[in-house]
Amino acid sequence: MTVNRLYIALLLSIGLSMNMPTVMAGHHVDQDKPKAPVIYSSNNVTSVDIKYFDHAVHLLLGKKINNKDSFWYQSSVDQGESWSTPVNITQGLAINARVVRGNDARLAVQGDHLVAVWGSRIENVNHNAGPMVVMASDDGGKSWETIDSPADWNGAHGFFAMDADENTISLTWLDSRTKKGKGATQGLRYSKSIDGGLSWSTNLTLDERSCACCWNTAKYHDGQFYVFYRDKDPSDMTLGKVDSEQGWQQLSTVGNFNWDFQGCPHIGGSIAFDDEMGLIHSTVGTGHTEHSGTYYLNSTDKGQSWTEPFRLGEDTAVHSDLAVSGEGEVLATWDNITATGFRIAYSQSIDQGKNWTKTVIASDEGIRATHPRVVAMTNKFLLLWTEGKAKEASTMRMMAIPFGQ
Amino acid sequence: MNSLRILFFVSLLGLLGFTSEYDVKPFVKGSFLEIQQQYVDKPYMLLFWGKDCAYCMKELAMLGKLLESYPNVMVVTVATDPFLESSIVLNKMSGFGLIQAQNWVFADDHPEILYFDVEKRWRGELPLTYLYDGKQLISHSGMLKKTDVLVWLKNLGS
Repeated sequence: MTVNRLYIALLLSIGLSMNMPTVMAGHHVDQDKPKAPVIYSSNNVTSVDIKYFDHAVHLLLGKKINNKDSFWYQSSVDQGESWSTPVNITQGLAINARVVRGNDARLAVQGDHLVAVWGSRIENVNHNAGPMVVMASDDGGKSWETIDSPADWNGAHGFFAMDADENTISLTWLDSRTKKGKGATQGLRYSKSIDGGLSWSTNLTLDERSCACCWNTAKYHDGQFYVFYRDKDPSDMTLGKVDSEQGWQQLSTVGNFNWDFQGCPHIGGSIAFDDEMGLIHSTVGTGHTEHSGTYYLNSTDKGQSWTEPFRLGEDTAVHSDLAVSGEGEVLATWDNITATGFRIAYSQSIDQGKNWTKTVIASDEGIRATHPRVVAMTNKFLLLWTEGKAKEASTMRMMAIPFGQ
Repeated sequence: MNSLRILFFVSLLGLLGFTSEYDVKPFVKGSFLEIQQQYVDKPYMLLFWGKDCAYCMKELAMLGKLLESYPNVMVVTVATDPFLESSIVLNKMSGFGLIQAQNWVFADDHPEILYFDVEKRWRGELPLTYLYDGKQLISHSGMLKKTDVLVWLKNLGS
């Protein structure tokens, strides 16, 4: 018994000593301007998606409240200064969602038609992953109902990306209905709806073999649905597009790092279109030993070729996003790992990515701020992220950054 | 709050240690160095894995089978899911024939602090494996090839 007590005391003292506050040396941050204030926060957040459409910001948050999952929609018509009362779109439904930052629920906006999608959670199956759940609203988000699944295979789906133009809502996701090659394999699937989500097309496989656990990005531009995903062998980012006839074209590798990685990177990238300059802007992350970090690139030929990668921030940058204003100003944001955890950083460029402002750290130190997202509004960028413990509900923070600053 | 959680977790692990033949150690800042110091003269394999990492499961299964023929090679496993229950860790290891390995679990709500402590450029990609032959510690990001492991194991005996 005495030995037991001694053992417990030893373990407790080890636990305490390991958690003693660490005195950090002064950390130099290239920050010339004061940090903008947080303008909006929301607690218990598990998932985030944001869209800017027709001068309104549309926000879909997943939440875990009292251990129950729910999804909430709200919007802002004054550039994030005030927000509509959140609508619990899953009110009255017993849902079990499998969402986490990096595998978020997604939102598409087509006028008053809105569609939300996420993966379900099923206990005691592989990765607890189940089929997608899709809900839609045709009154601008006031009321919602569950709609038929776009998937014609009822296994586990995840890593969704969705967008809409005036005619079509398109969705892409990963599932393992076909297994090709070695290791854990998922394929990139696609479906579209031309009736606001009431019915969906037969699924199309865009790539039989993609990263099994990386988030995807998709955006409509000029009637074409651009899909940005992490490929396999090598694990670099690939851009492709689906045309109005459902024809798929793989355009290019964005950042030829030749990252040979058989594992789970959990890293994707972002794209944004600059109509004025005819540019596609992009950020990509890589874990390649010699190139580790997040990079900016752009394309002047509709995604056929890309500039040399320009490193954003430090080599520990991981998750990134970017947006471009109507005047061509770009804001790129990322999180990076420090000795005290993840923090949010951003930088701006007013000359199509040739030059960048000094990095601004948007979040506080030591609070685990991750997975930033950004949209460009009329005269401001809206930057948001979540902060909190890993794999638990977090707090979403939002910051407005005026153009030209 | 974090201190309380680690305190509870460490206490729980300590208590479990008396009821179970095998235990799971809390991996905190400094644990990576502690492991290296523990096996300074002995060959070992150190595997970082995650419960949702399919590649990790494949690698653990492959190593469990291979190491049946090399009982003298020490195996250390580290689950990177913060505070993953000991029963889950031990069940997994039991399934892979690695129950006798030294098993650890991340004990920090900010796992990236531990990534940073292990290797500054590690961003949590899994699996991550370290191989130590008694002289040199080498890391491998991503799933190991069976042939490479066999070569490493055979070289230990030469």
